[in-house]
Amino acid sequence: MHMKKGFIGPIGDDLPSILGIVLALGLFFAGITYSLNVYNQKGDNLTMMKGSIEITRTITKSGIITDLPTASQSAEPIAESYGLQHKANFGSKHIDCSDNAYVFTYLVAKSGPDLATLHICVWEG
Amino acid sequence: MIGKKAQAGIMDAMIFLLVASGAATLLIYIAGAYGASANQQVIAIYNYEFAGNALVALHYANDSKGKWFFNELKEKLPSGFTEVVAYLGPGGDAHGVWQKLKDASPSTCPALTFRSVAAPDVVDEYRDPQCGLTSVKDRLAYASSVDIKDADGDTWAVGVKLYY
Repeated sequence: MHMKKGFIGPIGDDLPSILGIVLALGLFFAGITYSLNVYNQKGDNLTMMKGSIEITRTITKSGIITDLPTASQSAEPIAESYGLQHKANFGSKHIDCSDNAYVFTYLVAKSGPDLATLHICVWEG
Repeated sequence: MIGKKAQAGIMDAMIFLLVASGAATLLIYIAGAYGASANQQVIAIYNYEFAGNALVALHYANDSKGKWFFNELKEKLPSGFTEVVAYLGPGGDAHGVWQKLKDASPSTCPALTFRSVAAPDVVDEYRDPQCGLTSVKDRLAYASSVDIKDADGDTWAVGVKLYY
């Protein structure tokens, strides 16, 4: 058989381009997978934030809170539907919450003409 | 040495690599931008909710003399904004109410706004001088307001505004 130098065969000529194509495809699909993961993660975060807003809205809807445990309890069905937990207290920011909780503060009237800062923390769980 | 067809093949592969990289980069950028924009919307909702809830809470508030905060505002508004500033400022009867609003606020620069329906282009704002805001034009802010009638029967839009 008559062989030329460096000639592997018909496929040999295509090998370098195949490598480039495979690399490009790998890069493209890796990009798609990463984007999908980021999208899903952001989606989960947004659902959690949306749930948090609905929980805090339920607790603070009347603007005056005479009984905080009852007000907090009223948000329980919403928290359950989103798979979230929440805690609320007046005054101190250092309430016993999970480290990755969202903490919201609101100005509310507390049992009459007394204004107070209400802290509500919401976390997954 | 590779043949001309192989060289053309490599060139095509490189161009394909370029296109695929560009597409992947665009996808990643869009995924990141989507999250950032949606996040901003949720932050905006929370700020608007805070401002609205604060106004409701202020309706229940008493000043240091035990008088209803909004009733006193209604009495003072016809006399001019300086009366309101004196009422809310240090030494004023409602300074405690203002402090509580500031303490609860997610923004470091909240403001109480007063706009007469008779003069809608004029908006008076009460905020802390320590905010350091020399100009609020084009500044990001979230606000909510409620209409009240002052002692003379004129309508005022009283609002809570949160500057960032």
